Amino acid sequence: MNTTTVNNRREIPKTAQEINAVLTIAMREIITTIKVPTRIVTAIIWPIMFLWLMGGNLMQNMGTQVGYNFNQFMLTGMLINGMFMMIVVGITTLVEDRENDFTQEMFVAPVSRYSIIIGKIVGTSFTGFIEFLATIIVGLCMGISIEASQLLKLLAISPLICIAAGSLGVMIIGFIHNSSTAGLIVMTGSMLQMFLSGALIPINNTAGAISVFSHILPLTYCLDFARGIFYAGTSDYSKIVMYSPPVNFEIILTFTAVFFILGTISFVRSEKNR
Amino acid sequence: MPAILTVENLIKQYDKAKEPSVNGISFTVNEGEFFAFLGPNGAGKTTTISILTTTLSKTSGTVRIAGYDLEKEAKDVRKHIGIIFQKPSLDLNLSAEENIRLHACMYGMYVYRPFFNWMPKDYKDRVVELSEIMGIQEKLWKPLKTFSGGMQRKMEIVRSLIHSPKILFLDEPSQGLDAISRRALWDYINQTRKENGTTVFLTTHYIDEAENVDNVCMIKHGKIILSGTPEEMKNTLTQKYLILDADNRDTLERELNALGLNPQKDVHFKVSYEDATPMNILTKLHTPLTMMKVYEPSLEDAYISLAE
Repeated sequence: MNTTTVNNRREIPKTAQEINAVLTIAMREIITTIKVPTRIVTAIIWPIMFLWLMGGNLMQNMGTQVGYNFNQFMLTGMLINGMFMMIVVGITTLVEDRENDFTQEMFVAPVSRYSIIIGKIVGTSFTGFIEFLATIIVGLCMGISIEASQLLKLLAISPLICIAAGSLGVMIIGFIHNSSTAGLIVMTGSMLQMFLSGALIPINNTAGAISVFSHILPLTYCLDFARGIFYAGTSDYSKIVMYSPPVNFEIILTFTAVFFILGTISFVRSEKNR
Repeated sequence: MPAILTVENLIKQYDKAKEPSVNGISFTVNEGEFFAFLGPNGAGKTTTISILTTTLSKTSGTVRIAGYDLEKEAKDVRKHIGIIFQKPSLDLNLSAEENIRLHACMYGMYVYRPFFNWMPKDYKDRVVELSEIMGIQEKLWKPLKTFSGGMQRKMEIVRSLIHSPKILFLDEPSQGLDAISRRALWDYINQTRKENGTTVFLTTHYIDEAENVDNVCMIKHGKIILSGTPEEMKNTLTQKYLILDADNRDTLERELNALGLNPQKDVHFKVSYEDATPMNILTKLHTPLTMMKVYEPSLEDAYISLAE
């Protein structure tokens, strides 16, 4: 086995060292989130604003006309959308780290650049799960029913959603090197995704240019994949799900791999050439 | 002593820049050496140190650190170096200890554990020992944002040394520190050098900090213009002299001229000399002196004469 020595202190296998680095960076992210709870507060406010207020209004005015349980549709949409967005926002804090010169400390450590990015994704997923939990609570308070088995299905696919969201975040920071620009892009992107990817409003009948927009948004496929799993075997499946889960899975894997590799290379290059 | 750092024909040209910031520099630093890399603002010091610490890519040239090629074995290089950056690179939301733990675990010294008490005894002892030496043991558990600039700098030193690097890069380490903090910092760095034989690579604007280094390299406009020991620098760039005066100034002047010393006559007499001490001159003088001062130029004088 490949091993590495740190000044004869001890030997740690190289793979274990990379896993340790991922864990360390993830824990730094979690500790920071707990100590500076702005993101936790956002994760709690977000479902109250968008699921309870906006979703509640949609439900009262048009929910009865869609031909399926609109409440559940919205809940699944907001669960995935919220988690996705919290992770994208979390990853873009690497731009802040860069501006505060903290990335220097990470980039001189003897670990792979991919481990640093993966650690960041794992760490920000913590906020994503807080958002997930907050959305469930808001949904239950609104009287939206969800079975435990369906919830477990969503939880089972959540790591894939976290990685996909993380890769989009990495892609953004790979090319945007200013935290205020990154913040603006993420905010605009969040709004676009919320309304055009099918989180709150169905997009099955969307056509023309709007449909093109919908189909270039990564979240569209994550939501459709999650709903494909959630509604599998139910009568609502054909009314809600656009593509089969294997198709969505392939699309998600492709954009995740492309975004992750391109974004990491670009971020590291910009870090080394600044 | 074998070389721990070898730089050969290093060039760095930034995108869109007309001239290289670092233009074909070469030098060697030996194991255990205290090496100063000096130059005026914009000379290429920070660019060089950024390349050597793997945070900036080079345009061309070869660099070997601790036996590893900087380009091909960057991860191995990183394992053996410690860095104190010009701008602090701490996570101010974490406590001092959490920053140290993050660093130690990133360097693969320990498996990460979420609490200090869960970390191995070896780690706990080392953190306590280092923090006591640096006088930050009281603040080890407090968020770094509550630390003063000097304390944050101390904290960075503790962190950079926790993995016992073979070579420590200090990029203007005392910038923004008060005199007491500067003294404490250098006491600790010197102690570390003495105890562990750590090689130190220093860039600084405080030239007096480089007075006791083993070798100095001066860079200007991206090129090395002079290198050697501080003594050699001073001898090459400056002149030692005596300031003398007497009640009987005419006699003293005659005597100095007779010795071929060609004194400069101003308020007092200024006499240059080449020997290690001015004793050879003083023993030959018979005129009773009313004033005698020996002027030994500093490295700063040498630096200024070169920078100008």
